[in-house]
Amino acid sequence: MQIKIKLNNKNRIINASYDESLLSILRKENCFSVKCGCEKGQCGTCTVLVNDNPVASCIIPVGSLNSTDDQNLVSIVTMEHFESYEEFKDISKGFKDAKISLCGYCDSAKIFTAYSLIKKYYRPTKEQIEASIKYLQPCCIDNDTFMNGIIYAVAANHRREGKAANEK
Amino acid sequence: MPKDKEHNLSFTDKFCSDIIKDGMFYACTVRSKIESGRLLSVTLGDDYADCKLITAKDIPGENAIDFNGTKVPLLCEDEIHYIGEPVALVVSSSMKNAQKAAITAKIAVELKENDTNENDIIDYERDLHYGPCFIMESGQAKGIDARILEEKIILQKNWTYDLSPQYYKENCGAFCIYDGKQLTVNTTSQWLTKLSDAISNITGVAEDSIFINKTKTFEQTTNSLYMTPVVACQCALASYITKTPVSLIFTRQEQNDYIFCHRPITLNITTGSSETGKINAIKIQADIDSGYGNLLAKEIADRIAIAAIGLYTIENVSINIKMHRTKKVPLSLDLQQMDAAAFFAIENHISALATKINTSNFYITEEKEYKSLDYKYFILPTEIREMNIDADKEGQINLNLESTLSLIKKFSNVHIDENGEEHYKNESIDKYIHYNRRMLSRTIKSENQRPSPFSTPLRGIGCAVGFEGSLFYGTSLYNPNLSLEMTLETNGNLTIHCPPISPSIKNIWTKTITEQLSIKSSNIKISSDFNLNEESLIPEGLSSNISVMTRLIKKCCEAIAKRKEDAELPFTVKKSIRGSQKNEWDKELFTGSPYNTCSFAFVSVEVELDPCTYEDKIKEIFIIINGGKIVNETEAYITIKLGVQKLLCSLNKNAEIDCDNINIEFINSEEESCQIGELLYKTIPAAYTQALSQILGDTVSSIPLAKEDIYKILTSSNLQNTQKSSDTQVIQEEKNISKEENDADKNKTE
Repeated sequence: MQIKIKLNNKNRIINASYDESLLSILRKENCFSVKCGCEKGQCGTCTVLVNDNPVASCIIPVGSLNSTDDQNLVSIVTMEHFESYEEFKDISKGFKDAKISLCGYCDSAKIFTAYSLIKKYYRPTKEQIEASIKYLQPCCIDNDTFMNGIIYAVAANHRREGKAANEK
Repeated sequence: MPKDKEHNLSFTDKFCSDIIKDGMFYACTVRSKIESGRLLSVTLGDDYADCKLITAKDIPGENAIDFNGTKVPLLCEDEIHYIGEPVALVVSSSMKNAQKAAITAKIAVELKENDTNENDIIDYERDLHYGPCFIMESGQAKGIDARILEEKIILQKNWTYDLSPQYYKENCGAFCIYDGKQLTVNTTSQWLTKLSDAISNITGVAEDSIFINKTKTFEQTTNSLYMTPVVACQCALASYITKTPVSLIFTRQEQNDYIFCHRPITLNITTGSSETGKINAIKIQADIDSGYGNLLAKEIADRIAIAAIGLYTIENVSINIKMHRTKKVPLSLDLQQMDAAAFFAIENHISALATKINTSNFYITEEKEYKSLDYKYFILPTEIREMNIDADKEGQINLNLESTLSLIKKFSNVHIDENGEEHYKNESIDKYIHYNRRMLSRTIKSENQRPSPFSTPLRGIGCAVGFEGSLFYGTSLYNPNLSLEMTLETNGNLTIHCPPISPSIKNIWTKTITEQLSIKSSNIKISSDFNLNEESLIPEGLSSNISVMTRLIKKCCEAIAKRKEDAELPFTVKKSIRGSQKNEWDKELFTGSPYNTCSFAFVSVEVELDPCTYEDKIKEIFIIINGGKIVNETEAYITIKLGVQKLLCSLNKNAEIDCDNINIEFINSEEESCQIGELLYKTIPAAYTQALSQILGDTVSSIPLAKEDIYKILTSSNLQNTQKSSDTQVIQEEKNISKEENDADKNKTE
């Protein structure tokens, strides 16, 4: 089956069976930032952005992403392309300020979770951050340090975008 | 590819599963589906005619890897020893095809009649007895059973530990490239020193044509130590035969079944103690399913034995740990948590002993159901621990028991002298000195509470002590000699020659070096150019031990400080820590100090149970650690916090347990820095089950638990209590009847 998607900002036609997981397709496309973890959608190591929302690619059948409208293809972004985003720089800065050093296997889970919080909330509260990170498998950093990293990332994002402190 | 041909070992921070090459193939392992039999043939289905099948007959050299005298076969040749044993490899251009071909491969076997002699083979037995009861008197020794029977309080329990924390990281595997002349092996294997030798023996490729590129490794289990080199050799074989780059990476299922192969470990403990809790005799037995060909069976058994008897000074001890060989995958435990089952058992046993002593002193009177508590007879688990640790006495196993005692005293703060003055009071942990108060209040409440859906949440509290030993001297699998080289360069930079280290370890080393040599952190470099025959390359999971490596760093710094004024730059220093001499740890007599360093922890866990949903939540965890000098307290704090969060995911079978209140304290001292990362696995499970036992009114003797298990224990405990009350009522009624009859008789007489 031919599946039309937009992968890392490039329109692509992928030959795959309908029920093949997005994870295996992305790894075949040399997107190695997408890691193989639990394969049940629990650990987050296979997280990618689908239409700008973080999802676990191991439980997405690639056929469900097919689009017949060439103007509105489903956009999939992996870390390889996300590194060119300005938000990635904010998140990297924030994690560095919080002295976070990721193991390399859970990077996409943590970075895309931070990105979704930055996108969704102007200034996420502790409870909102806790609710987002609660289901991520504890890997190389504890939750408190990760939360600090997200808060610093939000601050870096505000500084870069020149947002006033009281702007909402 | 290695940078320099002189160095046939290099390191990369890439993942093995991410390495690709044009024209590469994928290999999968065909595994036996039966536990024993004679292998006749392996064939692929018709759909997989384009796949290449490799069996033991295709191996050009020796079909084995030598691990310090023990040979592990690469592929099964004749007799199948366990279910899941590798019998062949399938190589294909498509990973999916290779996996399907491996699963559907036809394995022809000749079944053997079940040989009863094979059923009970003991791979290793640690049998230890000491104490006055084993001394011959009048031609006969009393023995441990008779000695236990002499005591007032006898307690026998089985304790089952089956925790296996989940890790979703890269699976073990290898990627090999053979171009006809040179064989490059990208591997996750931690065992590097003998790897090229093994590959050369198997394939016939000359050793100086083999280059090992060590990729990032996460596995820290006993099986990963020797299975990853086997996988590397299998992949090298496949690449050698097909003359193509080959990738062999375990599936998640294989990773769970073979690298994280965990089975429950049950210890049976029988103690004989006085009414006050002094344990005078202990008998510990365990029959552990070791699987087939477990190379670390001896080490697992010995470390369990040390953990079971190491902390407490007991006069008469009998311990018997048997590692049974079965036709299953070898038992795999985390390298640093091999003895966690023993701590779970002994710590829970101490708490159960306190409960038994206290309940045996309650008695029913005519006036009230319970006599008011006489605190002389009420004993806390911490008091039993203190009573059974004699720091001054040199026991069979020598650990720094003074550390343990001071921990317990600091935490419990009940040590009051004859002048009424408190000892070991620590201002900074005053607010936490409520363990004993809470323990008492929970005990009193739990005696009276009858949970219903309308009750307030039920609470219980438990505590446990544990130690973490680094660099075990009793191992036979590797030579525990570690050395480190450092070079002071001409430009004043300092180069540490070691495999790549994590940023957190680099921070700790940098801080140590800066303090001792006043060299800036930016001038401290790591160099990982090694040759494969370097003696210091013991498996990574063991060599990256922070306490040992930090000691080596200090020794090297001292040596450099002495020489740097006079010696010409650059110069290199090399310092070593040798495995123990016989006077430190005697492997045969099982006596002495078994570890290079030891850290200790005391943990209390308070649990709350919803009586309606039977969901439990941890209200508070309090941890106090004595790990010697804490070089970087922030890093240490983060390590412990992360460890707690990982553990909370596995204590309950159904779901992760929440805990918002984790308090961590370090007792900082000038003693050698010790490894502290795994202390939690040796303490929190026992403290958690004790807390649950208090809530449920019955002993919880296994972990992990599911909600259904909690419900069963609670309801059976309620039934017992109801029975007890109705028995009491019957006794009371009979007494009343007999009193009335007596009064009636008395009146008659009058």
